[in-house]
Amino acid sequence: MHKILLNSEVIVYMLSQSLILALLFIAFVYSVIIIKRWNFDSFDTKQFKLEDRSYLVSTIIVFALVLKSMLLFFFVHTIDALSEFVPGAMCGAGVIKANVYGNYVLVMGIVSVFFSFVWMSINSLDIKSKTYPYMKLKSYLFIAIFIFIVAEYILSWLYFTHINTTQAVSCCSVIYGKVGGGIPFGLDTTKLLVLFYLLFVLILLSVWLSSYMVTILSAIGFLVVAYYSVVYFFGTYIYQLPTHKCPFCMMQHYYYYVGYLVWGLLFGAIFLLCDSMIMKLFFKTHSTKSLKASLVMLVLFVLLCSGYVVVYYLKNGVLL
Amino acid sequence: MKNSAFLYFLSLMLFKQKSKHIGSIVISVVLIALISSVFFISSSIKHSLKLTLKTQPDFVVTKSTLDKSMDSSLVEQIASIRGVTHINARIYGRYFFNNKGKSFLIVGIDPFEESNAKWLKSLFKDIDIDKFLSGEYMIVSSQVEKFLSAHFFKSSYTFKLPKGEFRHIKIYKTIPTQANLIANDMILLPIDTAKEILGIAEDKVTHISFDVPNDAEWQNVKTVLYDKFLNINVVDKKEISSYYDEMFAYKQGMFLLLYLISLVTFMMILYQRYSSVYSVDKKEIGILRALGWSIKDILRLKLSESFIVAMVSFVFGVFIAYVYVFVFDAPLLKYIFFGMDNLSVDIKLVPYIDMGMIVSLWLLYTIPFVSAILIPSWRVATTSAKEAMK
Amino acid sequence: MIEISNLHKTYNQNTPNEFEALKGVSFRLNDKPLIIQGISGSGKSTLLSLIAGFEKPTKGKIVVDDMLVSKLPDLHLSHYRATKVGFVFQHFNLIDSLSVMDNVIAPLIPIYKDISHIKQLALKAMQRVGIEHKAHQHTKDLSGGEKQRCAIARALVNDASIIICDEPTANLDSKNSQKFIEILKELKDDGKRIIIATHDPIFENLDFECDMLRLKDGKIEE
Repeated sequence: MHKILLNSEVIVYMLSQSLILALLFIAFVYSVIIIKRWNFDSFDTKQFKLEDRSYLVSTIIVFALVLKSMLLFFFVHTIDALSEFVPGAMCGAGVIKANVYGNYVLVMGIVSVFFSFVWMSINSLDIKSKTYPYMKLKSYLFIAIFIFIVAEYILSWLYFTHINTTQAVSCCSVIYGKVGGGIPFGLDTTKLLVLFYLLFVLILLSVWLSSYMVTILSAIGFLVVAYYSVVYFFGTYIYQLPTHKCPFCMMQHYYYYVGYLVWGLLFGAIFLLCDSMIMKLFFKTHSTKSLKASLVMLVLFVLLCSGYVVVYYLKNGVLL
Repeated sequence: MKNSAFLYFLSLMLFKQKSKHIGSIVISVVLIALISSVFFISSSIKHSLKLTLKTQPDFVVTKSTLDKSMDSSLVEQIASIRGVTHINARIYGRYFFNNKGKSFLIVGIDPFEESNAKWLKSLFKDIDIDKFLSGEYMIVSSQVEKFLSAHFFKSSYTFKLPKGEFRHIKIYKTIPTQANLIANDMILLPIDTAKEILGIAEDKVTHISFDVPNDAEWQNVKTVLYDKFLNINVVDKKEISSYYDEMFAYKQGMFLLLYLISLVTFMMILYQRYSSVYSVDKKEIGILRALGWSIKDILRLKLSESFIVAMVSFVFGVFIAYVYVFVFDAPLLKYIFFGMDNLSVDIKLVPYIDMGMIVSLWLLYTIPFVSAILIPSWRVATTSAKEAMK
Repeated sequence: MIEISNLHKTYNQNTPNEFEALKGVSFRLNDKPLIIQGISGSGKSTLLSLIAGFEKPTKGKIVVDDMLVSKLPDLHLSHYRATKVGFVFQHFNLIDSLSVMDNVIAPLIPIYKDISHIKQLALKAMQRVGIEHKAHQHTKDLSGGEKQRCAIARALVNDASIIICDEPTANLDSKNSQKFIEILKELKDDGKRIIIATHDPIFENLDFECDMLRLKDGKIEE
């Protein structure tokens, strides 16, 4: 265990998470106070102080969100660095499966970043209005996010302290190969790709037609399909090896760290898209900036993935 | 340019009040330079070791008992195992220079053996192997030559043999400093001469090395060796590589944990410093608030100020670390990774930095920095506009 | 129009130091400048700071051009201060480490993004009060009268419709006080609404029409 906990990347990661959690705890305390005592119509000094404190809460959350987004990528880099110490692991894929906690930490990290995005959008709306109409809603939402983040933090400790450096793990070719499981729902690569491009077009159409619920559902569907498409199809063109199926290896320097771009664009696009749809559906606001940004990222993602295939075909005259 | 107004005012406030930030910049630069240096040294040495390892044989067999000598007939027996190539026998042993308790690593090689000849030719283009084989000559590392010279042995040394005789050997060549990573205290001799000096019998060897070109057969070869021979120890290159990884990670990690203490202290200092600096600023901020700056505007100003201070400190700190490690070869700090007990280390640290390391360093510094100034910044941003009237 | 209804302001609420600075002040400000008089501690400065949006009242309403200022959240209240109010402080309250130009542009930074446009507006305001030749001089090197003019330029730069002055002539000699009155007359003629808190007798003999308000112990003296 000491090999893992003394690893520099792990120390940096856990230190950062601890500091963020400490600040978020302060935000949590004030959120609870806000829920108990907030009364916008009051002219009490205490109410004015609470309004000031709400700025501290929002500043902390913005700071935490920005850092947690960066730490998501850094987590992936960390587990990749740990692959040197975990026998059998050639990249992060093996390390994340070293124990049962790994996948949960990653997924919870992604989910907490997404809900923090939503919180920030609601907060932006709230402070622009004249009566802070969403103050209590924001506070409740943040408390839920905070509990989630605490769980993620505890799981991170459990994960790092339970990585066994003497027991071999499977490498990505086993995890994502025929033995590991493959594409779910009985789909093959062709059907997966058809679904991939169809959902992409559906997202664009539903945005154009302002069909918010359809956009959200197709975005979530696209996220799942895109994940499998990247791992089982597009990734093989990044690695230029039909048997190399892995979501993590593409983040190594051999592939010019393109994995960060691929996953960053995908998650960024879906987060912003779902966030702006939620704001439109439930809060009746239109944020063209984040919608535009999400669509740009989505298109770039699809172009990047397709680009690898096209370039390979142009260079070699055949597909893998 | 959009936002040029905010940036203009930000730069105004920063430059007019730079004295407020000098203290935190200085401490930050020192802290960053320190931890960056340790990271740089560690990765440079690890990288160089791994490069050197590439030229080393895949396997090394030694005796696991107290008597380290093995029968030289073992060489043929191992050579007969399927998959084994480039088998080579060597002698390794320590010769103690009694006066100071210092020792040299005596390495006895057969200079005509292919890989040895290649290695020697790569170090010395004009080497005369026959001359070296004559038994009158040795090849030493630069540190050994320096040490001997300091003890009045200018171009040769008289070894005291175990049986009480003496053997006078001249220095033929000095190993270039680049190889000091593994050869810091090394004396290379022909294998027979080495055996004499170390008192090893003629038909014995201490190390047998060989290659197994097919990766997949490594495990098989190991198993066969352990089955066939008693009391041996088989180490392969991958194990050594893992060992280096662990050792450097361990040393770096230990240093980092201790460093965290200074980091926490730094955060507390920052928190106190900015709390007091900002309380002096209260009147000014009150004026800005009275003029129509919102809490959000002031927060943006203060956090941007701090972020720029942090970035400037980071860049300077990393730059100073780079110069300290790769231009001046990290005097003093490098001994965290080398022992100080034998001859002093004289190696050239080769620059090797990857993005992950820079990101780690950046996170290690920026997150604590911004965490420490967040609350003081908020406190000053919520200064009432009424302050302007006081 | 500015309407004040039943304005109360209590400091240090629920503590032994509780102090009620305003005890139910109501009035309406039309087009004429308003001179608020009263001794120290009568509540003049508190009234000004409430109208300027520096703080919020404990009770009562402040309505400025149909906008309820007294209960605005910070973002909106700051915007109100930045766009509708120009305040001239008793002690000028210039930022010493900055030049005249940089002091004058300070209120515009949250409103506009383009610095060249802001500097143009600042130059106009400085020309209005005759201090443009000192644009790059540090404010700590200015005389009392020059500091006053710099403070006025800063109050005018955002083209605010309400100009509020707190004891504007307290630190001026009679010559500069007269100059200040002249600037005020020009602003009145420009349609600005002016509120001045003062106990300088010079304001009792102005050659233009004003409304007078006398405060005593936080209440309007009839």
